[in-house]
Amino acid sequence: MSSTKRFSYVSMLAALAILLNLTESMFIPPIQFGIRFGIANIVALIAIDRFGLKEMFIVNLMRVLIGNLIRGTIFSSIFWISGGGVLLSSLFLVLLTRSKSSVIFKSIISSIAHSTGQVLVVMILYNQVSMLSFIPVLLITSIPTGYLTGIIAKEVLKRVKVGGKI
Amino acid sequence: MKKSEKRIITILFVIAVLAYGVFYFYRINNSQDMVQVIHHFDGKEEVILEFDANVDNIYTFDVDLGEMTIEVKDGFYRAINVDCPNHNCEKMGYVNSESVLDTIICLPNGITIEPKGQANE
Repeated sequence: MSSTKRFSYVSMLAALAILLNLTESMFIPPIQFGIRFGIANIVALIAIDRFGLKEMFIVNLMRVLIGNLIRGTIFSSIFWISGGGVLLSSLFLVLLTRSKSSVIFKSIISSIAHSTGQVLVVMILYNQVSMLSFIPVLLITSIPTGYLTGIIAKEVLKRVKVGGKI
Repeated sequence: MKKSEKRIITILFVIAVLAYGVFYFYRINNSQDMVQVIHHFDGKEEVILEFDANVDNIYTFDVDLGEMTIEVKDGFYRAINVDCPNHNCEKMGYVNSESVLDTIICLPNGITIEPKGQANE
């Protein structure tokens, strides 16, 4: 694949991730305590499978940067919290891709890492050690939500033929 | 999913349930009556209000983006009529020190409402 083509695919994936992120925060209400499905993670899973680690990082970074820019929350505490979540989930995605894990497993673990990362940032920003007791709740809810996004990503990957590593 | 992956997920789930249980018993054995409203700004903290969760009352105070009201009722407290864009803290509903999330956090206003010890008899 030429670098221009690759660049445009990655930009489109980034746009899709931002769109899903904004759509979810606007139209899909959180289950409880701000727990969400995290459908934008589907795009990260597709990017890592079809293109590679660098592209996944670009898609995730753009999702946080531009998503927050559109919402008007850039460089606010919300920005750092979502940044922390995305950073930890991206790191876990890298590790799991190296160990050749399945898409659903990657989805569940990155979903857990995402919510844990957010809680860690809240704990640091607001001095809230008590937030630690919320991590088990997030772990329990992240498994079904991660499984769901994993299945969607798997089905999309089966049907979409773009990409390929150079 | 591979078999080993399923095993890891199951182990994680069991650990989470156990940890939830431990935190649950810790919370119900360490209930706290006094609640502090803290304003976080520029890395500093300022207590703007302290109240007893067992005394029913309604408190209104100024925050960065306008006003915020806390309703205390039957040992529980909740945030209402908050001037902010997303109203996540209002959606948390009634909480107290035994709730899963005992701290109400309003990110846009930099406000946390958290249990802080026992009331002085």
